[in-house]
Amino acid sequence: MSIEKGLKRGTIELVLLTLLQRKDMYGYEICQEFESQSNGLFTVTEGSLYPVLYRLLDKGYISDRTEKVGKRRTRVYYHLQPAGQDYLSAIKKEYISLNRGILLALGYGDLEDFINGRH
Amino acid sequence: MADTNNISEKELKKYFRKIRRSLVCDWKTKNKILKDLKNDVEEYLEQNPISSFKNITEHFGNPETIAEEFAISSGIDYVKKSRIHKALKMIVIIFLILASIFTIATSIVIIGNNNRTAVYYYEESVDDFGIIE
Repeated sequence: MSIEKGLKRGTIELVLLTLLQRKDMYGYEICQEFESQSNGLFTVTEGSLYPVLYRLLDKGYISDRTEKVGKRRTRVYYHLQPAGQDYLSAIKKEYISLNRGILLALGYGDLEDFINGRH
Repeated sequence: MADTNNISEKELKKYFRKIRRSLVCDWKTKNKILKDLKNDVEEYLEQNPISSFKNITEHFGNPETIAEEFAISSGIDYVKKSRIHKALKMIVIIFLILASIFTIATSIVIIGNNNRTAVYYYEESVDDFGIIE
């Protein structure tokens, strides 16, 4: 039984907002960046990504703008808003804290100990 | 969306139609997600011009998978909602069938009654003109 799905659901926002912190991106590009930045270890599909984007848009953490590409196509770029920056800082702290708590509960001092199996 | 070498416009329209039917959300959200997905498919085809329809479904997923992932990410119980959707569809179909049967049956009865009374009316009209048969 895999815990990947649950872990992913909880961290998509964190990774997504961090990517948008670097530059504005459109949907397809965001999915590609998830894959390339994580060396293929953290992939997200459009079906999973868009509800998160819509939720963050509703809350005002990100904004969107449409740009014309070529003759007929358009792209919707997403941009991190100041409120989103604050939210990102908060969830980063939460993630670090939770991560640390899990490692301690598992009996490891830090992530390196966990990877190397050092209790 | 322009035709590419290996993908027909018809196939893509059918694909998006199936996604729309599989999604369990309000029509506004369905329109939004479909617009975004169409843009993404165009991007994919732009970057991968020699693609088949199979490549697209492998990359983006089949309609049910897309709908399920969307529901899970939105916090919707996909299995429960899609069962309710299907049940409501069935109820509407059964209602329409029963309504059609009722309409047809009622029409047959009315036409049958009219045919019976028309003969007597004709006979009365003949009597009125004094023509005795």
